[in-house]
Amino acid sequence: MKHNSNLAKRIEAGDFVLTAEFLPRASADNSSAGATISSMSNVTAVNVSDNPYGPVMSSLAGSVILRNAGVEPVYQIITRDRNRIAIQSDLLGAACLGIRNVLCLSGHHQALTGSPDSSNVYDIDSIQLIAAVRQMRDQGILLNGTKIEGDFPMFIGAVANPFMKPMELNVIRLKKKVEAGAEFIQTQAIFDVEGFKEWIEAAQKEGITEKAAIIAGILPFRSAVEAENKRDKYMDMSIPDQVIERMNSAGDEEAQRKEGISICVEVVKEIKGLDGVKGIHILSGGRESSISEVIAEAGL
Amino acid sequence: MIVAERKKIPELVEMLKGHKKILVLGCGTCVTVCLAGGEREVSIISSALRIASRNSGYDFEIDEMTIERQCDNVFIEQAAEAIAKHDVVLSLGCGAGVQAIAERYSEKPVYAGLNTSFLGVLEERGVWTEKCSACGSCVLHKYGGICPITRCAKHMLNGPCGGSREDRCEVRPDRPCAWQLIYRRLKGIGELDRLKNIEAVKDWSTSLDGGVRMLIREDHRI
Amino acid sequence: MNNQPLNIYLFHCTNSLDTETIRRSLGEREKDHTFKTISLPCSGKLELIYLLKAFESGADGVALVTCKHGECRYLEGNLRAQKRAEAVRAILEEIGLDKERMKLIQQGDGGVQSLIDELDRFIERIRNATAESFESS
Repeated sequence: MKHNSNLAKRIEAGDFVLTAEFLPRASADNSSAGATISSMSNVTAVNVSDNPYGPVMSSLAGSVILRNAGVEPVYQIITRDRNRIAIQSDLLGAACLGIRNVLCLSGHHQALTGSPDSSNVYDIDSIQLIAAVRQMRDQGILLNGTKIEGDFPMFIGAVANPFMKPMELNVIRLKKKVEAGAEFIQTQAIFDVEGFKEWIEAAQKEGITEKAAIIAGILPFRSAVEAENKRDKYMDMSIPDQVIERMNSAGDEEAQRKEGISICVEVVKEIKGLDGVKGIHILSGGRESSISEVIAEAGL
Repeated sequence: MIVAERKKIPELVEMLKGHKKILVLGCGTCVTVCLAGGEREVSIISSALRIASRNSGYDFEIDEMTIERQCDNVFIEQAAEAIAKHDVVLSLGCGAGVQAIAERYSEKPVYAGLNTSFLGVLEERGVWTEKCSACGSCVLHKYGGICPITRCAKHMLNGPCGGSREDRCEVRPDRPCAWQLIYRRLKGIGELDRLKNIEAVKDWSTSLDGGVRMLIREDHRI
Repeated sequence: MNNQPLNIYLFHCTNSLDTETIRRSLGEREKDHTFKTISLPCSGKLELIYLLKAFESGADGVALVTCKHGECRYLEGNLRAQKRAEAVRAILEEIGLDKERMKLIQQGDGGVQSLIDELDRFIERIRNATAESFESS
């Protein structure tokens, strides 16, 4: 069995898909997941992030909670905290619990999280993780050759930063991810539309967009301060000065929040029709309630 | 070489308090070159400890000695007499040196005066950078002579992470992204195709992850 | 007020200043305090240990006098001297001593008189610091 997720089916049917991001909290109950579930109409699948800013509820548990509530999860796995033993073990568990989409990432280095004093693992990298998931699915064996009992029907995703330069290196890496087994690519948040166009054209030229579905990321900022902080701290975020200026001149707190949504809506309009773009991924920054607003405003 | 830096004086005072006769023992090899534990640093740390001791009333009696290599028994023997006369040894060797001294003089407390930092090179005057993690299975030929295991904060073997910038690493603004260096170097030597191969998961059993390592050369064991 | 005599060590560059000139300029001050002058072929020649040894052997304050900015005979000796003085100040802080006990005095256009003025301020600073530590002990 290859894969049987709804996200995969929708993509294969040629639908324009919508995914969104849920950031589990440092909570021991599922109340935050509940709020997420209720604000996700029209969304094909919801990503559950894997401790991007420090320890929170595990992405596996978060994914299961969403699934049990009838929302299809995209289970995110980063290679920072778990070695190949733990990752494969979790993957088997995820399959067993009905999870059908997995997104493979390296994750922020722990120096950029709330636990900078932690050690890290990085036993395997994100491309090796993609290849491992594909091997588990297509050959039915683990990295050490052990045969897996039962089906492992995962739909495999990877991440790309369209703004990572130089473009030649960016595309080499993207191509490797697809070659390793990535079937869908969710991108970092797009604010620089021209930069994104340049990247997707380069990807298209290499035949990547035919082999994997590019799902373009957007992120509604709540405030100019948040945008500035993200720009300064996270090198995978590419936020032009104009965006911050726009947020700043928008006015009070509520006006800035609305501006953040407007910026996203404009980006969606510009990139939705581009060749090779198969969907939109709404990054929430942990404010899942803004997702439904973006969906409504952008007419998604 | 092994790069180290000295511990701060208050930490050393805290470590040494309760002892009277202290031998500050330097090492003439790597830590001399990186200006952390050679003869000169032995004199500086000893002098600072004497002043600190006088100030805080600990009454340390500090003597100084530097041997050629603390990780080599031939040289360790030269310190035997001096060590016998002291209550404690404050070694300014690397972590290997400290342990070698402690193993040889099992009845004597041996403390580390340095923090051993990394295997690296002198980049420019007063600046040392890390280059090697001693993983036990070198991959440098594949990466244009730039080690992604050591110099990429995430040990990525298949290309940069999304946080790579042309002028910096995601983790530290003052360090370059190793993958940008690898890319430029491979391009420069006409080997960029190497980057297009998917590098399989690494066997870490030769590294520290495989357990503490030892090396035996039978041809030298007579 | 603490009027105890102080031990002051004066390291100086010999190319821009000779020991005799310093001695002459110190004048009456030598009655109140003990000054030890050490002339160096270049202030950049100074190793940290010499400065620390001065403190170890009882200096209350150590001044390092360099030539004017841009006038080092060996081009960058006075720049190195400054770095060494900073390193010693850092070590003094670690030890728990007032880092102001180590002072770098770079000569300017004011001649030896401005050097002596600066030295007076240095001595005053140490006197106050010593007085404080006497009161607190």
